[in-house]
Amino acid sequence: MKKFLLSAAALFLLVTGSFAQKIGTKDAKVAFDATSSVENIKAVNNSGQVVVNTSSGDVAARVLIKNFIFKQSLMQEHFNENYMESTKFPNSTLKGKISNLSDVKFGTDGTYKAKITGTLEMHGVTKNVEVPATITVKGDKTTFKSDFKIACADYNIAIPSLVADKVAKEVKISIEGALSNQ
Amino acid sequence: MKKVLIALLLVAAVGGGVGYYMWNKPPESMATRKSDMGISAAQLLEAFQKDEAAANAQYVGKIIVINGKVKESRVVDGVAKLSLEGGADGAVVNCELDNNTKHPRTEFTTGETITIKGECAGADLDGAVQLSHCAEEK
Repeated sequence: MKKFLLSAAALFLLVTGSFAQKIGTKDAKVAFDATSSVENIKAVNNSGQVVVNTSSGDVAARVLIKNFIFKQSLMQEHFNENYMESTKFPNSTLKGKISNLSDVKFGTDGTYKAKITGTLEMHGVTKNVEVPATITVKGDKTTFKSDFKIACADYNIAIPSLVADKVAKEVKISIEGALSNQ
Repeated sequence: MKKVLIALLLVAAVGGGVGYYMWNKPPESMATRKSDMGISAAQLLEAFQKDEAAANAQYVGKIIVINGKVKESRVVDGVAKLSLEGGADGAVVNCELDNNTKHPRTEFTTGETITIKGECAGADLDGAVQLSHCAEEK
């Protein structure tokens, strides 16, 4: 009897354990847009990292600031040296949980709206955030897409009064990537 | 008076032209940038594994010439990337090729030893160290 129970327990753990899966990417496209009515300010980062634990709903995402690509050298320089101070604060990290995990069926084809509740750390400031995401499952492909806005002032990102009209006070962030088994 | 006006206009035009050029010029190619230091992939990974904060302070923002063995090379959505092995527990240095450099090649062979120059961007959530805007050094 004891042996049976032990094997049953082991089998149970093995089966449930196999569903606890981490999916993610190191190639997520993270775009930001701080375009104002005066200036076109856009950059793209091609190495965003996103990790999702499909059984616990834990989500972590990180982007390394120096990886952002701008068309103009001066804009890239100002972004790194003056606004984000990327040598001091090399990354921006989101850590949270899908608060409506039961609505997201990772194993079934479909498009699911997820709410990620957690913290966003940027420029040395950590703030509580709620970020929406769309998770699409099609066969063995899972894609993650999230669009949200952040206020520069919330993260102590100072916009000099001289360029106040040129930089949007609220920056649009967009993350998109294909998540695969990690 | 007319001559002064024309001279002023010319200066304004040249000034405007220079300003326009300076504002719109793309970031400098990594191939022509001066490096701050040379290190092996293994040494860089060890530094970050030991103390990420200290390694960030020492390496982030520096132009590093790094040598290591290629673990993987791929092109994703037109962006060429490669990873160099050398860290404990399989930790790697991830290199993204520079957008502003004409690269003689964008794909590398697994197992080959290469020397690559890039800007240290920091570590990701798994302890992999990222180099940005990279260009191969021959």
